[in-house]
Amino acid sequence: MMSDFDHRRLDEVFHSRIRLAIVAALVPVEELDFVSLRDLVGATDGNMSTHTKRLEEASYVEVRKRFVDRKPSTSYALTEKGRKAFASYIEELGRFIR
Amino acid sequence: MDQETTPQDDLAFIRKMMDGSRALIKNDGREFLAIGLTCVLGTLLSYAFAYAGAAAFIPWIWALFIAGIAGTEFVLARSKKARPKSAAESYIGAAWLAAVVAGGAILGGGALAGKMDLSLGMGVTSAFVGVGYAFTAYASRSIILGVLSIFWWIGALILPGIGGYGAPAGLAALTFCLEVVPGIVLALRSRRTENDE
Repeated sequence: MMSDFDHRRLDEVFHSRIRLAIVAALVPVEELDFVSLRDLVGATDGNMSTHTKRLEEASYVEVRKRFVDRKPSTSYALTEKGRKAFASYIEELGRFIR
Repeated sequence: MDQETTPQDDLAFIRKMMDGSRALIKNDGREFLAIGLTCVLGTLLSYAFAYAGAAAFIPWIWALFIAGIAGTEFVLARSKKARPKSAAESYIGAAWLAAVVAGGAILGGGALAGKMDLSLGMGVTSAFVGVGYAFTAYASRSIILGVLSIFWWIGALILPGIGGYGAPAGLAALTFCLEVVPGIVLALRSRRTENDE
């Protein structure tokens, strides 16, 4: 049976499994530190840096840097634009399933 | 996507990620215990000072305790032990701030106008704590917190009717039952979860 699901309507930022995982993990929280996010997603440090950079460029994710016990700490938070893009992506997937 | 997946796979994967991150949001009862124990101690000290005829020291006791809580929260928020927060917690924080400011304005205004006695003040405090609990219950979809907010409002109905120094003691008992006890339960549950992990 033919479906009206058109993959071109899906946001290409989410075409990467790691980027999708990062954004999904950030949805329920205000922000998440690099280590927790990396462990949750199950990616390497290098992969994480590449994909968070891509999400940052798309303005979907905001990077927050601060010092904790005099050591630099990096956290990530979803922007309003990222939240809306993720909601649209879910809606598109849901439309196909229905 | 990187590999061939169906939309169902994607949704299941997304749900798994969201559940994983949600599991990091733990309420270890720290705030409940800190605020609850401080309020119980502050109320009992207020009772003791008022009983000893040294009521002038009471505002200073509270100022010291509130500064202590704010300082502890500030340090913990910047320590490496700071836990991830849910997006709803920002709104809960704003709701509590609004409840504290509104309650403080009524208590302060009433005290300045000389129309606020000890019993009424304790009732007003209980009413606004109930408001804070109700907002938290709504934002966090917690039935238990909703029930606790109703008990705070029952306290607000009863406390103004208690004369003399009974109202601060009543508020202390209420704070112990509705703030400290849930805090202990959350702390024990959090410790048990950590041990299981």
